[in-house]
Amino acid sequence: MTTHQARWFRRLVRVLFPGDFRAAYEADMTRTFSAQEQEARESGVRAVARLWLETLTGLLRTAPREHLAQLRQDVAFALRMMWRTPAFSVIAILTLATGIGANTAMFSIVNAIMLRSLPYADPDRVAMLWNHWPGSDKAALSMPELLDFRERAKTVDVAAWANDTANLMGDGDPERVRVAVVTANMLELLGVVPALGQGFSTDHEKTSPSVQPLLGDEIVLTDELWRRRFGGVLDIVGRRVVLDRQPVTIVGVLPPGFALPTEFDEIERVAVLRPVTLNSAGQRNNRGVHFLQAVARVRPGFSFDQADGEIAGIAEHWRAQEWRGDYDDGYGASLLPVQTEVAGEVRRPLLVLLGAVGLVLLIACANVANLLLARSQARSQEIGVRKAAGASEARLVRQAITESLVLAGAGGATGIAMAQWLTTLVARSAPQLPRVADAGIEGTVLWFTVVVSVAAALLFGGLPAVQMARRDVTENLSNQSSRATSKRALRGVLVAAQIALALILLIGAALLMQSFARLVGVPTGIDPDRVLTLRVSLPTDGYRERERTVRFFDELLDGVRALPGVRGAGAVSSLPLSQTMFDATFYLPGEVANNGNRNTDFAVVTPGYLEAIGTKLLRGRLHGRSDIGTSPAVAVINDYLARTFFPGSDPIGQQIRFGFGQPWTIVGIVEDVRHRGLSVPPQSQVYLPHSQFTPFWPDTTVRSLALVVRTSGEPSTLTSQIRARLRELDANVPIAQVTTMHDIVDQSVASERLQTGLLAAFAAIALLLAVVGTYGVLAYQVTERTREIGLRMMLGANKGDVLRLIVRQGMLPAAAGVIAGLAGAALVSRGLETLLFETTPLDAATFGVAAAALLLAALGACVVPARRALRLEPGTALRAE
Amino acid sequence: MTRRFDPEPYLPLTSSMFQVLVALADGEKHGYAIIKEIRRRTSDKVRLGAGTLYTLLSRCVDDGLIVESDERPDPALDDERRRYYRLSDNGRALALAEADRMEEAVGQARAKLARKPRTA
Repeated sequence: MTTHQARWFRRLVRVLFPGDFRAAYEADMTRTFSAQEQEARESGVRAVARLWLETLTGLLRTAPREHLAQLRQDVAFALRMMWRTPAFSVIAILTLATGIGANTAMFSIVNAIMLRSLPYADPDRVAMLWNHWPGSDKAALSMPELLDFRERAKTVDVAAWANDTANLMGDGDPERVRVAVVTANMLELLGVVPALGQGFSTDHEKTSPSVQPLLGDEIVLTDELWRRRFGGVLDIVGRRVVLDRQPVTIVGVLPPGFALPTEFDEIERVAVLRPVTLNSAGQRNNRGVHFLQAVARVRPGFSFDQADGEIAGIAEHWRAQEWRGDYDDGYGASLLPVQTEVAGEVRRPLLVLLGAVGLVLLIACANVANLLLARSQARSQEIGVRKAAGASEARLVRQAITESLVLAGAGGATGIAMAQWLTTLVARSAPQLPRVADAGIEGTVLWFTVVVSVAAALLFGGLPAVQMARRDVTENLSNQSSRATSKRALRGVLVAAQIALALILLIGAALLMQSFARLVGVPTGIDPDRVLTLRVSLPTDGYRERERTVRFFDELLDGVRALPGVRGAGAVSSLPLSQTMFDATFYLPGEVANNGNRNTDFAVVTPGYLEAIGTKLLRGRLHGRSDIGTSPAVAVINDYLARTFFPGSDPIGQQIRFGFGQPWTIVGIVEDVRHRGLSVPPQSQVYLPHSQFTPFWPDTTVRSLALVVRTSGEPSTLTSQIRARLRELDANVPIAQVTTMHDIVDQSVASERLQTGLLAAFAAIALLLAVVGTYGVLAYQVTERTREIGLRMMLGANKGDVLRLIVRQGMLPAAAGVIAGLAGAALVSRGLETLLFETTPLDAATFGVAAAALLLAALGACVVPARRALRLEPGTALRAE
Repeated sequence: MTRRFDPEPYLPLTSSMFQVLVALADGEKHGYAIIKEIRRRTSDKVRLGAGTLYTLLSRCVDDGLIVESDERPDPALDDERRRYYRLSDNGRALALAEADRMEEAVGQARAKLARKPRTA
């Protein structure tokens, strides 16, 4: 009789031990324990307690070993099976490796860009502070706006920087470097501790009473500059160097990987940080000069929403009351979390690509599931013998799942190698993707691969395992199935699923390819062919006055124009598709200053620039040598500004004013240039002559200009000659950013090119897997139905009937898959809308062509098995077993 | 032709496994009898639980060291049918090999311990 305690013992055994072991020993174990327990009861409670302690300890120690022993057996068996069927194993492993590898690669990129923490302390509390204007949702701040935010905001601390360039001398050749002129609290606000030395002295936090902010004589280097130029020496702190002919002291070196919040997608980042003491004057006229990028940290005790609300409230107060008339109805300010700032633009494309590789993996799993179903048929006798010998269904399923895990493990290991290669390829092809250089196969990514491999194993192995285990013993032993029809239906469903998923990817890729073709075909407003560009930056020392700077660039450009092969040359403050233009508020004729407010992009240009870059003049004239500092100030505007703000009247001869300085007479209208990006519609643009422009700060003239040289031959052949001309004027001024306008245009669409290319590659892989899967299933079914085909032919079926039978078998699931795929694509393609340029996500022609292409491919996959069926001899077919 | 059994890969045996093989040396027994025999012979120093015993038996049966016999009641206990186990020839050879190994180790230890330590 089983006692109460023995029943508990049996429950424990059932929970802890595997099924096979329990089937053999559970009853005997229970009887033995029962006898032990009876004996112990005769000795008292302590003996019973001791028995339970020993029994429990023994059970907990030995049960896992039984499971492990069974797992070792199953893994050894799986490896033997793989070795015995090499063709199947290789195909399955490579199929899985493709799906798992693509997923791992995409995840490693997503991990680096979107999931890994930014190199700031508590980055969730850091945000960019942007102005908003109609047509511009991320605009810079002006000095008075920054000072006001700093004084009034209670929920945030604010720091800001302005981008500049300078010539670095000392310890090597002169080198042009990017400099960020920062408020002294920048490093403290970001929570960045220098790896060497310290940050900036707090003296810089006092505001300057002077009109001009004061640049500090301390600098902090980035790790890259310190290693490259100074050899990574440890005694760098305290060293004196020369920046734009001003002596400065190096006080610190930043940790590796540092970047300002807007720099993570830039190939060339700032190399030097220099502090500034701000100007407290905050003149009203300068409220419209926007050049500062601001970053904020939410103070302890406040939430992000509270801080955002306060910033918006301050901006609204300016708009509606304090500076009423200076800010129009569309103005506002807000906080953008720094993680969104870094990854926001690439988030959707990355998630689309992650979804795409997920579909590729599903197709791969369906493919391998079909292979396993076919193989289980071939192993049916082996399974029958094992079942007859006493193996339970659970045991058989467990072994089959283990085989799938071993396959998936091999696929995952191979996939990691593929992923490493793919990740490196993406990082090299798209260095502008923020933080993509950090993408790699590390801890989190490896765990992801393990999880994906296990999930794939369960997905492709589960159904075949259950199918195989549930067959009758007699069915297995006779190798015949009364459920052949339902099995064919299952394989057909898997084929249809593969076709459907492949069609979704194909349509997505086709839409993106159309969009990309339209993007690169959009009129840019420039002619990038055979145009060389390079940047020349003059130091402050020796070039402080505007006239000196203007004379330098005039002489340089005259020398360049005289070179053989040069058809035109000019210079500009910011190149299209490369650097952002300046922006300022402006006022129309008749408007009172500070009453009514609009924002425009503007660039400072030399004569010859617009001709050299290929921007067409629509009316009036362009800047010329006669537009000098003492003559009336002239401006050239773009067509958008003319149409929008001078409807029905001729802007030529009229004046516009900016928030600073004198009025500018409009002398010419040029075509719109897509300066901010090929997909960004042009905004208001104004071109002001370098000879007449005086900026507010940080300089009294624009000393850094990009030369634009139109050539008749290969542009890069002129670089050394231009360098020589420059050296004749000033040997200490380097050139930088030597490239062609063609490369700049290409680079501006590198992200779109990458996402289109990757999606097309994934769609091609999916198509290949689906077609191969269809072929495989059909080939197998021809073999399976060989006797049936022979019988039909004996009974009078002709070759046409046989052909129709086979093709119908292949095309029915393909057609069902196409219908499901069209429906799926219609749902999914809406998610692509923000990625598409002038392309509708439900483009009927694209859907139709993709569906037809897939049906054709499926038909192609039916050809070989159909031809094999046609070659069957009835007699031979009937004898086939 | 059956291959000659080589006990080397199994040595050294765990104490529990050695005790189980020795317990079956004088005839077939069921599980509870094995546990009692081991407790008696080792003066209660080695106490096997049902979990430990049957995982050992399972491994020994798989390796051909122990053979499962029929199920029958033990008149000394109750009417319940219990499975009996007996030692196979390989199991006996393995137990003997382990006993030889332990005897050699004990002999070497005694000889060394009997010698006086060398002084510098």
